[in-house]
Amino acid sequence: MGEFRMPSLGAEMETGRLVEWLVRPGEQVRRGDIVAAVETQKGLFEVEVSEDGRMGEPLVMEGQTVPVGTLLAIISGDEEVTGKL
Amino acid sequence: MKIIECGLVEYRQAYAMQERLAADVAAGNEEEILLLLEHPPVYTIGRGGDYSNILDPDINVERINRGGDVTWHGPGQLVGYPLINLARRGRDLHRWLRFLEDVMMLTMAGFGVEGRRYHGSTGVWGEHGKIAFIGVGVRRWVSMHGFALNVRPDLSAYERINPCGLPGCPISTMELECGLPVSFIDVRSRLKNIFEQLLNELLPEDGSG
Repeated sequence: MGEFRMPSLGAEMETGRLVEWLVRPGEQVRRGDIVAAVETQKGLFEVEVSEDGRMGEPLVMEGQTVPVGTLLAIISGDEEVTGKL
Repeated sequence: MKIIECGLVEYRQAYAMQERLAADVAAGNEEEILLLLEHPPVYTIGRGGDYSNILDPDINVERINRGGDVTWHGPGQLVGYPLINLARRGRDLHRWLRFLEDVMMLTMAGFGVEGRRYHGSTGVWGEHGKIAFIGVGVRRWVSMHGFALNVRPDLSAYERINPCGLPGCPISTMELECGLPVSFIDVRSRLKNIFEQLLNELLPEDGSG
């Protein structure tokens, strides 16, 4: 299981706005896939996932501003998904 | 790095070029690039922008992957799209924005225009209003989009939007600030001369990424 969190995009960044989810819950993702767009000041950052797995339900909605490190979604590992089948 | 002067380019064509080159930079197949150009008149809005800032429902607005709200580009405005590998230059989006503001201010200063920041707002203002507009996108830590510097554009197009989402935000140009004609070509060459040096000074390559 992996945790997808609001990334820190700079030393002075305290919060970021989740602008857009680019994958749907339940979708299979691979390490390096871009899954969300996050905005801080006038910068939009396309955020990648760092592992393979299946995207969980969004825990933060589009348009919400949250502190760096906030859990945005859980990514379940492949074994776990297989286990449920 | 490479600096490419593209002249007058349609927005969508330049967007496609940026996407292609940014992917090449991220993959290490291309050195860092600064594209300098002008656009035919066009409005764009960031992905998180608020459509209520488009005051005239009849205008066509391109929704793009940068930060910030609605803005206008057109002739007389110098647009720059730096495709820079921030993974090797400190991985700091806020420092990147501050760097772009510094480039704008240093460019203006060469023409006697004193640019300044307004705390909490990205961009550069002169005495009479906002002169330089900044909005960036970052994919795989390579920057896209960038800056738009009002050298001497016609400002009437701004009346149809709340520029950057700021209702009533006064807009200015370098020429208005100086009260004298300013050469677009001279501004472009000054910017070309200072960009890379300032980049290496403020965001030096750290050997990572």
